[in-house]
Amino acid sequence: MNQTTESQATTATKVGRSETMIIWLIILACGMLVLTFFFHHNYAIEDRLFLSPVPWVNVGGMTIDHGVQMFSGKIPELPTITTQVSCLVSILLVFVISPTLFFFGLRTRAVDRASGKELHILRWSTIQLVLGGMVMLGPALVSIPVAIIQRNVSSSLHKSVEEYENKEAILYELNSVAVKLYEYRVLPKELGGGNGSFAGFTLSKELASTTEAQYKIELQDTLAIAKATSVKYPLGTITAKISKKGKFLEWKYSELFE
Amino acid sequence: MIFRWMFGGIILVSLAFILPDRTVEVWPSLNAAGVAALIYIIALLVYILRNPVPVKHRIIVGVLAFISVIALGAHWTGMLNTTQWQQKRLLDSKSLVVRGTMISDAPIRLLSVLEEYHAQGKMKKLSLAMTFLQNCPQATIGSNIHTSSVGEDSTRIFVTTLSDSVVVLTASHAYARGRTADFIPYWGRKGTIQERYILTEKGVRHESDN
Repeated sequence: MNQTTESQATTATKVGRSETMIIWLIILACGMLVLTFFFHHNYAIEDRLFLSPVPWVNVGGMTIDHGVQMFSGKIPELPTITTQVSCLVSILLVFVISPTLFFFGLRTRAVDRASGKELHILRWSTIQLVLGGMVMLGPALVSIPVAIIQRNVSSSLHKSVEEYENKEAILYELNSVAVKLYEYRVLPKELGGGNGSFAGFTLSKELASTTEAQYKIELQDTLAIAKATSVKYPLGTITAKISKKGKFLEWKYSELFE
Repeated sequence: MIFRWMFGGIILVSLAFILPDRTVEVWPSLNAAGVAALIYIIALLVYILRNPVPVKHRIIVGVLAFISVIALGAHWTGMLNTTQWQQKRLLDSKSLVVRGTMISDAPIRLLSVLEEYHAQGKMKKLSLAMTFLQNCPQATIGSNIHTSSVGEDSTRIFVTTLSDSVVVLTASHAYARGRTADFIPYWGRKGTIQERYILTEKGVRHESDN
């Protein structure tokens, strides 16, 4: 009789546990669906609520967007409340809620194990551990390779942008050379000019060698050829034909600057 | 206990997030919240990893947490530095291109005037201003003489001095930023580029105001 009662009680407990388990699994599945939906639509430029496992990527995107706006003369607006709330909620989810669930799940399991209780694989602390771990460790795991890739990409980006800037700076300085050439040609001899000719023109020290490039000039009858060799990238050269009116007739770039 | 911790963490991180002044960039708020979150996680780890959690588990979790924090921190700061650097480079490039447009236009115009001026020989009938007005008949003090070679161009070249011995052209841009943010230009937004080209009978002098 007693054995039958105990057996019924154990069965009832098991049924109760499995029902709780099913409810938790449904909650977990729904939660994951909601998270997937928000993480999938996580770009913050449009003014809508977003959740991101890596909100700093979204904020970085906004910084670039602001740069593009300023480049085209627009004044970036203050972030909307929606954007701010989205960032805050994302941070709270990844760095507060998930770690709390995960670490408390971990501790509960350790305490249960130490107390010698009969433990089931699927229990609340396991769900806590899995759910918290997924949200918390996901960005961390993604961040390791991304941080390495980002470092390499950033280094090559720096290099190509610096080359571009050096080229632009040289073009600007070549304009100064053209102005000085034209000025020399139009000034009379008594004012230190060439009286209608380029003959006798020399580049001043400040123009011949700058932090960007070194310049050489070859004078011909009605035009001049200026050659710039980059100081930062010695393989980068620009050769320009300059008319007697100080206008550029032709440009030639070395492979590095093409 | 879990809810107390969660509530405390939410309050701490939210306060850190709203503490910095509201600016165009969300970075100050995000960074402050990140630091608060780091403090919270360290406190949480210290609380969680005490007895009866086995020493082996403490070491594993501690090491994993450390690696995670380093990886997330590297990703976060990398994104912050890269995007801010990209934004700055984008705006610097714009400024350099705009200065290039100015130098390829204003001084060449003035030298063309100087060429005609000196072509008169030693006995000059026309002053610098008169020679300039022969080239730009519509020009008055404050008028823009820049003609765009591309569709939309926010560069302006204004005649700001027009006398017998000096002609000054002041080149401004509507929004391309210059060196000093507080600079009030002749035209355009505060802090934008301004270059001046001063023509005398001795040549053209270039002064970069901002």
